[in-house]
Amino acid sequence: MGRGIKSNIDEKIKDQFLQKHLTEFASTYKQKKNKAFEKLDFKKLQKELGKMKSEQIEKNDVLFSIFKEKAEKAGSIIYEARNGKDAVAYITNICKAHNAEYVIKSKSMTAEEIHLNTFLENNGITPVESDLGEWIIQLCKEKPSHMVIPAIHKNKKQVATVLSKISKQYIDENDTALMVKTARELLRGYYFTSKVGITGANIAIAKTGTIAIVTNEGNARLTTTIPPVHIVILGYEKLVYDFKNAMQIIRMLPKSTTGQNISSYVTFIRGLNESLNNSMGIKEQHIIFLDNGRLSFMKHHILKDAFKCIRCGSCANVCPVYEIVGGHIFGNVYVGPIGLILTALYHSEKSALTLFELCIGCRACSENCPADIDLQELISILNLYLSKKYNKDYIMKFGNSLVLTKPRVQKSLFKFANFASKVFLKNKKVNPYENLPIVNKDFRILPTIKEKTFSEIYKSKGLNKSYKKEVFFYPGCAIEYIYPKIGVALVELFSKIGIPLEIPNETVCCGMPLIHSGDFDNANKIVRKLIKSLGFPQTYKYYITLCPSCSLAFVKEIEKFVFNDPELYKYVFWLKHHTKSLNTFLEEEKISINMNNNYKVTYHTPCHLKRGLNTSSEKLLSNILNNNFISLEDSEVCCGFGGSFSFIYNSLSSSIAEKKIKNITKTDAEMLITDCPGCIMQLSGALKKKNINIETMHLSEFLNTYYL
Amino acid sequence: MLIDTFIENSLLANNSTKIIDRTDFINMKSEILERFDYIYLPSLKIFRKVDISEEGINKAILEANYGIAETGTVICISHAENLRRATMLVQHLTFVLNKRNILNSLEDASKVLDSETKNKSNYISFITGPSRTADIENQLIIGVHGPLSQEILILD
Repeated sequence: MGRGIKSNIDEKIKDQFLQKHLTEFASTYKQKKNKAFEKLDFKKLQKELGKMKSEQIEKNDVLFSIFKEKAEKAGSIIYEARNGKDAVAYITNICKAHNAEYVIKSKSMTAEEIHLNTFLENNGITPVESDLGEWIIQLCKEKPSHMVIPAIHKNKKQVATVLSKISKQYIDENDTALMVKTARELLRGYYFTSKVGITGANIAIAKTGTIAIVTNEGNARLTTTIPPVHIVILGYEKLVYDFKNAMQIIRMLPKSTTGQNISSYVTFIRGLNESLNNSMGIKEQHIIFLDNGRLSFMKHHILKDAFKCIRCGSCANVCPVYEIVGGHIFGNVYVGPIGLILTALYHSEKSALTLFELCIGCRACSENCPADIDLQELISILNLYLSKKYNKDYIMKFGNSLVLTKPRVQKSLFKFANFASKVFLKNKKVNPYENLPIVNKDFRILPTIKEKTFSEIYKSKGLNKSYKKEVFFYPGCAIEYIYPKIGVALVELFSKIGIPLEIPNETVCCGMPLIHSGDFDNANKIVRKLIKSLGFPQTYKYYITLCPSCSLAFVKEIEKFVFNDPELYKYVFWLKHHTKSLNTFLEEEKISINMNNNYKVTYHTPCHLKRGLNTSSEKLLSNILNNNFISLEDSEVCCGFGGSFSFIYNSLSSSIAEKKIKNITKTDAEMLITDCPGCIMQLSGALKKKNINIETMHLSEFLNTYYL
Repeated sequence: MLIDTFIENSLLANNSTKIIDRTDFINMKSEILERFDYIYLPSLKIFRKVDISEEGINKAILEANYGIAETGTVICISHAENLRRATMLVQHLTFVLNKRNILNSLEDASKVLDSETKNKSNYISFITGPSRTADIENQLIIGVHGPLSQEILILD
């Protein structure tokens, strides 16, 4: 983290065009994508594509030798480039051998990866980008901010200005058609003057040595047809065995990219086709496979998953942080969530480490990836590895080791904070800390740390402990120290229903804040204490949490710290399969709830409930409340909290919350229900600060308050 | 059934697509010869070959090898460069597609690709609608580097 990135973020937030445009884009993208998959089973296709790509990566070396043999048989020249330097040198040599003054290019991320244009220019060769967006940013001397829509950050006015200048004619800023026509006319000549055409490839089909290129504008077909020489630059991960495999990608790619059923052009090229501009009458074709680390990472037990990527860009399209800052901040050469990962693998581990901080952890990317890559998990693991390697935030980690990993110290500290707030800060009308500048400036009214913890209240109520209990309730730090009432509501609700609850003797942090911030060593320590605190070796039928992030830790995160400990692994496995949210518990136990509520209610779905436990209370509430339930637009989109994210990147968090608040107020609901103390801190706090009179409650409080 | 799916998806991709009776179409020969600068209709034995340069041509009519119902795509197999140019450097492109050559799915098309690339060099295109872009403020514009409009005539 640096001041630089924060001021750059604030600049993007102030860019009204970018904000409006990215928001609109994200919203229309989701609609188009849903429509494209309307008649299909996305989840099923996603699993199938993920599985297919995994299998292909597994046998990548075999596929390469088949491809090489088949392509060479048809006259293609195959070159294996160890790294970018190697690849650009090879390409430059070919261009020089053909006295190429110009080379025409069709957009290729692999060419971006190796900074090909810069290298060509330094060698006196002029590369001309033929994809409209890519050409615009080339003219503006910028870099792409999206993998599929490179100039997504430019507005019409900026495009009109640059195209007016180069075409020496006036182009009105609203005349998009003329801008496109100008590009058509100006670029046409370059296909003919260029001695070499350079493209990437979306797929390489080993069985017959064929490459496939997917485009909409028709530029790749011209680039591969008119110049006498064609150079293909691609990564090894593009290899699949046959055309059936290729069709799986072609079915998913355009739908995930732009919501098109298929792109306008899918071009399959095998070998040397007729070439009118080549004196031999036949094309010269070079296919360059780029390693740049791929061949090793594809064998890595975890990182290999990143190579399932089909470069659709959908992970960026659904990322709430990307939607605010765009690709110039959220990525390097490759942008969006996959860009964060590839930055670490191809470019700079240190840059990636800074970028990882921008990941809010909402898991929208993982859920949406057509190739079934758990992007969030890869980011999380790389963050843990690299944060340790570079000893990032060592002061914070030292603090964590003193406090968060020691539950008793943590408790004392919270107690002290509560005490101090009473003694030192007089104004307690709303929040004892509100005079502190950091709190005052926040976009939310933040909650206080409570005098009595949840566990103390629970114990003081002297609940029956005499018979065997089936249900274990884990409160987590937020409920233990800040929102005990949410936990108390659950205890009360369950006593009304007649279900006894057990709670931990000591509340130990679930580890999520440490894992998310990349604090491997302290997370490792806390996970062990946590498991101990959950009553093992006695096992319960249900482990209920009212904080989905704690649930996510139970079902997904802590597992990776216990692979080396069979006994703990056994416990975590049990925990993983018995962790429930309140709504799923009620559903599975077939407990129906009648309510006495006349308020209009809406519901925000917490990220980790939907994309951790794969559930939402929307159905439950709508069944109970009928017409009094109003569904919330983009209910599943992140509220912008993300734990420490909302404090470190306060303005970013606020911008994301703003969109949520807009949707909430649109419903005209009187109450907002959600399932996560973090979302409550974020949304209740922001609503209060804005003086919007909508009461926010956790599901447990809501059900308990209006239980009949 | 196949033909309906084909037409539905073809229209979604901004083609203008219609079914024409084969005999009616053959009877239109003089009209075709008049209307198009470039003609490549081998199964009807109607040809007009012109060299296509940078300036491009106005109208071309070509026979597509296959169609794919799932996506409303026509498949154009064209090792010969001039034939390819006729699909690229043209303002208005018309494909003639024999109804019998409409395949059901992308998987069916994969068999065609397999045999067409097995023992020879080849250049095969799936073409679904005219060229397009949404690169400027996400606004869809039809007609970029390829055809500005595209018509599909299905011969019944």
